[in-house]
Amino acid sequence: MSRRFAAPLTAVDRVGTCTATRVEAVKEIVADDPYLAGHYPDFTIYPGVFTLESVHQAVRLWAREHRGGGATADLVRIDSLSFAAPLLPGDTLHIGCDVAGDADDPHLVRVRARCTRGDGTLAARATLGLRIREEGDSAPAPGAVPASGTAPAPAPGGTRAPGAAPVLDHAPVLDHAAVRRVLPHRHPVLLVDEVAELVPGEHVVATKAVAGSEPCYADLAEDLPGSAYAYPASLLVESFGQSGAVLWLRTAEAAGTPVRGTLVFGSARDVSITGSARPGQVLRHVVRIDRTIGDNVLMEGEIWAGGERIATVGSVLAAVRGGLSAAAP
Amino acid sequence: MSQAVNADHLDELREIVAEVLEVEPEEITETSSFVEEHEADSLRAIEILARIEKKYGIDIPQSELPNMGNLRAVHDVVAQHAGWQA
Repeated sequence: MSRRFAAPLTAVDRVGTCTATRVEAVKEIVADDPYLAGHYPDFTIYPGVFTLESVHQAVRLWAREHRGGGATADLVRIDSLSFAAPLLPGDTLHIGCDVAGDADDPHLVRVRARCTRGDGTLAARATLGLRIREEGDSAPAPGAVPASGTAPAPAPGGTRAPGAAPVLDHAPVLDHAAVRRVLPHRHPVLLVDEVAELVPGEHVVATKAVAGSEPCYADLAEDLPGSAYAYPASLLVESFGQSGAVLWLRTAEAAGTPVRGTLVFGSARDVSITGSARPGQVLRHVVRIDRTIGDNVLMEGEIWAGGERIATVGSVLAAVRGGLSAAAP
Repeated sequence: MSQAVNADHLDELREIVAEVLEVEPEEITETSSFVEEHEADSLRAIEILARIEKKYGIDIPQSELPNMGNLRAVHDVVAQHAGWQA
């Protein structure tokens, strides 16, 4: 079945309850889903951001049911997304979302999601904001390119901070071969191409080129609007997290205390998504270390595409855990 | 040792814990167990610790985490490290 939006995989298999205020859905975790071969090569684990994708797709289905068949739902806000237990092939992910309208903005819905495994264990919790566009709506998608084809003007006050999105014409400090030596992720879910700047303990600037040939653009319907080709929010967050992981792992290495174990995506909080990236654009992640506590790190930063800031990330928690049984996704 | 409790501090801490655990503040009582009653785990404990350190500009050793299992216990640990007087 062809999709009407870019997505890394079909992240909902079945929908159960779907009332005006609640949607429940199920996703069976299988190792041969797209992207999972690279996450990771030696064992498979459903990436945390794919749980976000599952919630997002459940809300998309809710929107089509309750706001009209042509309705779409763009993720604009992650107040909180936290992971509690890993999902492995053979597990069943149960997604439960309470959906509420926003008193001030008829296009906005607030979602509180609770995701559990087949055995009842909590896998993830999320509090999200999504912008619903009904068919024929004039409200543009985040980062929608105006009909003239020119880039949107920066907001008053400017989202183009000078120096924050520099034009980089010098050689990367880590090329792709070096990135692969740092990160355990592999094709097609290795979402960092190069590192342009890296100051251990402080910050990193890493890039990822978005291409129309990526698996997330497979199976799309014909004659979709430009907004349908927005790079999926789940992969955007994953790419940011991987950039932060490069910074953290290199920082630990530089300090002579290399980090060992399985990389765990602990949480993302206070994320605002105000734009989007399309095939042909280069994502530029600026990630700063906020604090390190033992085998855990808290980071913050922003995501740029084509000279425009498209997201700000208040806080991401990454961790390493020794045994998979104790690990989150 | 249990310290005298400042209601404002307790409410600030309750707010932090509720945000991290994604529950309503009023669900967190002084003695409700984060793990047993609010589905906390080691990652959430780290987040609570980091937020408290940031808010009050203090350092709390990771070794205190096992002593921070409910709101009252968190308050007592923070009071000790922040030098809060009753």
